[in-house]
Amino acid sequence: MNRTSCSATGLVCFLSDKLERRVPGGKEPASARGTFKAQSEQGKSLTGWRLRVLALACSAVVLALAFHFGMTFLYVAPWNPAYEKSASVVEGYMNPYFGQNWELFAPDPIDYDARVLVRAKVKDASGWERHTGWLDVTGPERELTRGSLFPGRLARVVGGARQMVTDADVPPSAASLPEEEEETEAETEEEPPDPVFQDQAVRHIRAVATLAARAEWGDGVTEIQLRVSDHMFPRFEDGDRDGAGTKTYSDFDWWPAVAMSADAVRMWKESHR
Amino acid sequence: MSTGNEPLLPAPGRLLGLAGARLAATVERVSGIRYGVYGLAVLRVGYGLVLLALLLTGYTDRRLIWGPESAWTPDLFKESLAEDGTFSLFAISDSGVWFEVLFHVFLLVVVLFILGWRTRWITPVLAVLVWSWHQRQPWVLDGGDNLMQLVLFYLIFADLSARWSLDDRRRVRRAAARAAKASAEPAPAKRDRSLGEAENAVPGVAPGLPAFEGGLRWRLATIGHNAALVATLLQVSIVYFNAGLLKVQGEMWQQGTALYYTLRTDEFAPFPRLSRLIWENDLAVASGSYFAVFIQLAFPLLMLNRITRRLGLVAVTSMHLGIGVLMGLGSFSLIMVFSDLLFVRSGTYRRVGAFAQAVWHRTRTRTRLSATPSLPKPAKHRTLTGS
Repeated sequence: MNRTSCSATGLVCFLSDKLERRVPGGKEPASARGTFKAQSEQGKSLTGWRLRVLALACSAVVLALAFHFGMTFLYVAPWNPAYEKSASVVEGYMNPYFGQNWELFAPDPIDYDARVLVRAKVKDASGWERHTGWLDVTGPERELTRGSLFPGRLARVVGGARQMVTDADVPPSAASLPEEEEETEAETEEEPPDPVFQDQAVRHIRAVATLAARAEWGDGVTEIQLRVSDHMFPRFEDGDRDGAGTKTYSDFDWWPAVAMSADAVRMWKESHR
Repeated sequence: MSTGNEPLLPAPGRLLGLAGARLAATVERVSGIRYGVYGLAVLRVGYGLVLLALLLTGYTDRRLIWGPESAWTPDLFKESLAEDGTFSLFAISDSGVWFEVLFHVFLLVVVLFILGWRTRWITPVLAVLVWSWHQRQPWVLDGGDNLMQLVLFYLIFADLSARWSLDDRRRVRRAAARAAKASAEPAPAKRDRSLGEAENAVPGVAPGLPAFEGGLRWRLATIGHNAALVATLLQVSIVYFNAGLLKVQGEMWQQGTALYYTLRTDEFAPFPRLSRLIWENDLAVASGSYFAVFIQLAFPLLMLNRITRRLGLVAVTSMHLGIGVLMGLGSFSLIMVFSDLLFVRSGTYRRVGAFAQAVWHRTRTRTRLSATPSLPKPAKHRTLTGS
């Protein structure tokens, strides 16, 4: 080993000299800034045990990279048999810190506009309760993005909560369900909704709706109702791009307003004019 | 390796020696040079500026988005943390004071990261802060935030302040001071950047270099640096490839109509009339849709070759420019562009840097000259040169 390492050391000195001139970083003249390149000529070059330690480190790093990105690929790729076989290992390794999702407008882009509307039951000082009309909660949020290339994240608060309701498949109130609800057979193939996630989605959008309602109608708001209205754009292949498209909506149950601080309501009011 | 003068079938010992030499050369290559230091400096400044912009555009509404007044209530936030089995510094206390302290510390850390001050320590702190901040309101994030988070984890192991940073300036000054002391010559009062780097070289065996330079610790750190760089490049490639792979499965992308739907949404329309100009144009819709799918799917392959890499980078950058302007996804687009810029070689950055320096000096000299009364220049000219 001694002979090997001796000749190796010699060669490394020689090679690293050559490398410095050949590799992209090597064009830089040795200087006071050259701290990013080893100064082999100082005699600090690789000796036997150092070389072995470094070689071991290199191999460990290569293996780690291969493992990590193999896992990453399986995790983000469209459904495939390799993932199916090792799903629990992949999920266990990737979540939560390497969690990622690159379904950016894929497999199909968003082809509708979703808007959130809220109405409320409001009690005045004398105890009289009235029902309000529908309030467009999405409109003011969209206004925040108009003409802006870098809108603040406040502009995603309502949209995010609405997305969660859609993702969680929160059921609309029975009264608002359209008549043609005979599709239950076909839908059983989909994943069953997660009740915990549904509950959180409802609490999230209730908080948003309460803020918007109180900002509009004051502290007397006792109950709120949510309407999500979807505007499906005219299909491209139908040729009539100026057509109205299809509008549908779903109403959710009346929910009690959430306890949100007066500060929160004031802030909401100030930032959604 | 073989030079042609060697025997056709070398003796086993020789073979071993050759393998050892090849190994040593490889180890030298990955442990002796820190690659991509310019691209990483650009990424550091770029990511930092995007974070700063996100924090500042949300500054007045910070409590409503991420604070105790958030609709993603402290209860929901903590439940979700527990489910995911993770942490967030924002969960330490529900009090407004804690939130304000943490938010402003975050702002400060972002600024220090941009400046490149003690970056070895600041980077992990920033990665933890960004993670904590993302957890606080996960429903306002997008793919750009996701990518930045992953890359920040990888880059904890990288040397992000090797160039264009306060760390670098400190290093250069110290080395120059030490060199001056060693050669017993008066140190230059100020490092003249116009001279370029060669003139600042310390003659001989660079006595200004730190003692551990080229030592085992430095080399191990270098392996970590290069691994982090490779990890980032692989991550970006995976993002594009999979985003493309998922798109080719969609009917609208196959038909080349996806852009029509995307640009019609009210949600991503900072300039609805501009968007309309495009979605009403059949050629623009089809070519834009196919272009997006093609460039994403092909990205990793395009990066392998010198010429296609340039084409690919120009193409994705223009795609992100389009996304940024037409869809108002500024932070997403900028994060993607700064990640892509890591694929640009150091040589290119050095040339750009030298060019910028030359322009800067010419401007400064001209300004100085124009400021002296003996050489009057029209006032208009002076403002143009940015004095």
